[in-house]
Amino acid sequence: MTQFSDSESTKGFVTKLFVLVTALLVLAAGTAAFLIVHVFDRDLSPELDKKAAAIGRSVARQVAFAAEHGIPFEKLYGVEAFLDQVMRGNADIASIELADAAGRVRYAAGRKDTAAVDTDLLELPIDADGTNIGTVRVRISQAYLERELSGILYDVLIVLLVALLIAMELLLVVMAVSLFKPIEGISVVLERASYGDFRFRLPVDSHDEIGRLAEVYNSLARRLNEMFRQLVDDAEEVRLGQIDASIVRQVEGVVSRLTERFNFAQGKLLETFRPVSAHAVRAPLFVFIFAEEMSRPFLPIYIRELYTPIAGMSMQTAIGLPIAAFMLTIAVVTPIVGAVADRYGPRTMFLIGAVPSIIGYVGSAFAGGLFDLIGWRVLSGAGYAIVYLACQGYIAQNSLPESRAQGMAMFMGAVFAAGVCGPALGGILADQIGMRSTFVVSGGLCVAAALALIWLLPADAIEPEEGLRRVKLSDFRVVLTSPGFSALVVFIAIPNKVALTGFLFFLAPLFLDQLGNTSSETGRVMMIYGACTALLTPLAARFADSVRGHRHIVTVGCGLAGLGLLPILLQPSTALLVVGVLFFGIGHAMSIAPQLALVPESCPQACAELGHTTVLGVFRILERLGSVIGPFVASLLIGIGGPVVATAGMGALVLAGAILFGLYHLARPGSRAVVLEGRSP
Amino acid sequence: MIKVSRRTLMTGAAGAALGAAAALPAFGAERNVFRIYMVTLRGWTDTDDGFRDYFETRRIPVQLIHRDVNRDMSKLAGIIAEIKQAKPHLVYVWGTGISIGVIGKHNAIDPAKHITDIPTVFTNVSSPIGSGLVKDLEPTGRNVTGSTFLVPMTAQISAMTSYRPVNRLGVIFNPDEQNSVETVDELRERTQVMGIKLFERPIPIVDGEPDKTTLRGLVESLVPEKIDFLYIPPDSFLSKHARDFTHAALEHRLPTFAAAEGTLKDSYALMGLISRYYNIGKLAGYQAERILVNRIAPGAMPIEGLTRYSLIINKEVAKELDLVPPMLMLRFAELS
Amino acid sequence: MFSGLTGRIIITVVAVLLCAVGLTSLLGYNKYKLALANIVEGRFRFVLGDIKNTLDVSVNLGVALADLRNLQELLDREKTADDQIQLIEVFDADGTVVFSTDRSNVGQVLPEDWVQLAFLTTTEAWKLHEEDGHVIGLTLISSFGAPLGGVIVSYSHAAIDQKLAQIGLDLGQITVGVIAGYGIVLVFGLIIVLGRPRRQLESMRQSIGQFLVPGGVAVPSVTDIDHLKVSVKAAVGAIDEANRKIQEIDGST
Repeated sequence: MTQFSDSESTKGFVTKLFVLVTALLVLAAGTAAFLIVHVFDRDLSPELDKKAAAIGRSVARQVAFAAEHGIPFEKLYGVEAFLDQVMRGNADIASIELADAAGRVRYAAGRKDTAAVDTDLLELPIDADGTNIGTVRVRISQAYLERELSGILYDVLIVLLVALLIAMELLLVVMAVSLFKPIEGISVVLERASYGDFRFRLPVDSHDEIGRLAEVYNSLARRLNEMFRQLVDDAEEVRLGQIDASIVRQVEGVVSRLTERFNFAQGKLLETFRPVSAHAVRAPLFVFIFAEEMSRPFLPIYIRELYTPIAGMSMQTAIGLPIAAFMLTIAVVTPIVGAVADRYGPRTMFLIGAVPSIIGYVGSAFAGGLFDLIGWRVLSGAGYAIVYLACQGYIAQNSLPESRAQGMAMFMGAVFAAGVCGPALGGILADQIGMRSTFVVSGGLCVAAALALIWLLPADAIEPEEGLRRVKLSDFRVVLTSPGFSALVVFIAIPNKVALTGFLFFLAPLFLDQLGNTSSETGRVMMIYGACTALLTPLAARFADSVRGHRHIVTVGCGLAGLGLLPILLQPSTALLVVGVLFFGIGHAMSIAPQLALVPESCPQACAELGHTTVLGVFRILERLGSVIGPFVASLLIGIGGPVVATAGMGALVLAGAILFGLYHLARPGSRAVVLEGRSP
Repeated sequence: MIKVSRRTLMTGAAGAALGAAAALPAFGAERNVFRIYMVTLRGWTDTDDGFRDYFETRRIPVQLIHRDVNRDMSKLAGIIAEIKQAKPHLVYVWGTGISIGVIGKHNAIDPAKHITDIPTVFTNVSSPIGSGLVKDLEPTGRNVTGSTFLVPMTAQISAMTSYRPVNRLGVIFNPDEQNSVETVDELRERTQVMGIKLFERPIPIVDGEPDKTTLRGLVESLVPEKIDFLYIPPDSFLSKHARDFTHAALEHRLPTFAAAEGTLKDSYALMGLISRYYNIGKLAGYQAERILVNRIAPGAMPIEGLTRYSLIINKEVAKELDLVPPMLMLRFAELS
Repeated sequence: MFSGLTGRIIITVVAVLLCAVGLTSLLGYNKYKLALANIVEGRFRFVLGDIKNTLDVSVNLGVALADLRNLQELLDREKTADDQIQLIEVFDADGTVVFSTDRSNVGQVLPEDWVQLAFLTTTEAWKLHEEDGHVIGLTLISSFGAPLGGVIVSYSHAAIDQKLAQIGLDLGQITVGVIAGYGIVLVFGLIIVLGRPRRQLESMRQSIGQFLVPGGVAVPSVTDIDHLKVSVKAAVGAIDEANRKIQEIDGST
């Protein structure tokens, strides 16, 4: 048994498994991509040749025309400008040269240095009035084809990343269900048996090593219990055959001494021991959030397509409506459902939440206009809030206090992983199968998430537990009287949520579309944010904890997030927007966890009075307010000065918040002492 | 082959439906023939050809009634009276003088003297605003629309600079003609912005008439200035003597750019960017179509010009000057 | 060997491999389709633009489309030069074909939707997908900005479809090959990696199995799961002891 509690060997094996799977997936996708690009190169080149021939024919005809009007080949004027114009809009042509009848190049346009690289050369004779006067040479740009095909590599990388993350999620689940969970069961049951408790049998769900092990143990336990039952039966027989009370007592004493030391099954059946695993919700949650994240890169574009003018409302505001409605629903539903959630338990809650989500996605796919889309998004938002709460509650219930942080990390891991893959894959899908179909895929994923949960989390596995205290209106008053808390909310939490929904979810997809990016490209850009938060948040949290400088990290992080959005003022370009998203992601990764750590620090009195959880609840609600107004703020800014001003405005808002937050704490040097004081008890 | 089946289906019935789609009149004998009075100054010109051909290519049945004053404006009153009597569907007026005579200046309209109740299209008017025919190029609100044949100055300068780089530009003009002076004002403004040095040579006025004997001297006086082009504004006097002084320019290897079709014809000018009279006539036909067929009020249509012009290059002159046309221009120039 | 835990993990990983490589191929295929369409269309756009340039010159001069003498020769030359071109036609403002590489079409009227599209899209090339070919067209505008007619080039799907089918086949082969190749490596790798926990579980099963002898429970002398051994031993001992005591009580009476 000891080898099963030996986490070193299990860990080593899991690491090996993950390394193997990662390496092989990378190699396989890489090989496939390489071969595909090779095939494309082979097949597309002849097509480029045909186009080059058409261009060459046209050039030859023009030169011949000049010759026929008495302009000799060597006296042509403005040939370079002419060739440049021919090449314009034909990026696949590297250069065009005109050689005279003797073969000397007289005129050339395009890249001069390409001769060595671009071996694909096409020659066409120039004939004027029946005599050859020269040659047109068209060189085809290999770089063009490479550029054209490099898009494939991006897609492959995204697919690979998504495949890896999904593979890991699936492996975690498969191993949790087929290995860790049964082993946990075996450990617990065998350990109980070691203390003389033989009441439990192990579930035999498979005929693998574990199943056989379980069968063997069950035989042992059955045998022992049979022996016990035999003993009890014998004792009973003896007891019934006796009328002497002392002998009866003796027999009863023998049996009860035995049952004092050992536990055997009462009645005929052994009880099956089935442990639950925190992993059981991770995969369904991942899939569920993935479904929502998929629409991120194209949702504003989709809304714009459905948009029909509404009196008294600008188009930008109208586009912001469904996004804001989604956020508002989450903000409203979370506290309401939080209060009743405990009555039903996480499993039921998850399944309840999946229903409006599925309806919402399918409805969004077939939405006919702005207003019904808002309705569908509200349904999805409600489902999202319920499922999120269900999973959070499940983690809280099914982990011991000391491992709760680990449980939450696992929970957030699923959310982050979905945030990385969702937008990227959603963007690709939107490009390939269309936005409406992608919504249908989201709906299908929700169904899959619900089914996975049903399979992974048997109905009898968990008992509802007593819930947490609900946030009351009076709590706000108590918490907000603390200036430190108010500063955190007003300067940091709200501006950053405004920028998150206003910039990242609303403005960025529209802006990127306007700059000529496809949904795949937009998805890639949005993935940057997800990747930053997924990779850096744990590091930043650990760093902030180790230096005890939450406040500085928050200030610097938000400063960076805001600063990154300002360079767009120089020039509206995709590159600068990518820089903005990157800084925004890094800034948020730095500040998310330390922000939460700052909440109790900022209002020790309120924490003492109401408890940390309630204070955090109040903080969350206020923060969500920012999420709701984000799209409106952004649309207002677009109305004032277009997307550039709106992006920079969002950046300025976040930056100003960070500066004010920094100044506030500079002006109150005593606050640190209060914090330490407040923490000590 | 492609779409053959559809096409056989379409051939019979499609015409009428298509006509509607492309803003065409319905076919059929039941429709009336439009009667149009054409009033011209000096006989049938290219413009009138364009006007007539437009209806032909669009298959709009019209009856054109041509009245020419033969340069005698006193005949105009009689023609106006006849038109008032005949009440045609449309009146077409040619040139500034006839137009003012028939429809009046925008600030001096006399319903007794002018035609006000019949839609009128004016054409061949070089400066509708300068001549007072209309206040601006916006829809007139009157029963009148028309066109201008001036090519914007920027397009003209761009034609020259596309041919060869222009740093120094010479211009000979008639200070006595409003058109000419206006054009040179604009030229001065544009060249200043573009950093082109402009050398102006107004023709001396002798006894109230520009002195044609000075033309050759003016050309020669520009030779030492090393000008890249000689610009000739639209001007009837210069058009009349174009052959002479463009030949002088050619002798001194000066390329000439002419702003009017008249100056280009039978001269030694190298090139010009012009509104073809024929196309101007077609534009008048198009405006007439919109009034007659599409029933748009003339007063609701702006005064338009062509959107594309004809670039004309004299290839013999080019050869003699050793200035062959740039390849790009060869693609769209008319080589004469 | 393929059942049980190892089998399940192998199935999971191979399924992910299948999806990843499959999706890669699918995306590649779509990318190729787009790139091919772009290149082919680019070629015909160029041809179309070239013809339109020629026409514009004449239009600027005021020549009616029908009077363009050398246009037929130009159209025929372009068609001959490119076997994918099905048809090049010039039509007037009524949609009537005035020039065509297929002379029998001259005088016929183009489908109404084509003409409508042509006169709605005057600034750039327009595209249509018909059953047996693609059509791209450019609208001709008169020198005073009114629609005058247009040029169309139609080219066949067939060549493109054939290429797409070929590339589909190639990609299919690549996909199957890569999945098969890496799948085998993966399976062996997983069997090796999963070997150790399987062996551990197996040895544990044997340890527990040693308790079981026909008809009762025997406690083996050598085992590494000591606690369980002690516990089972104690339980067996205690039951035996209890049995003995009951026998004693029973026998003493």
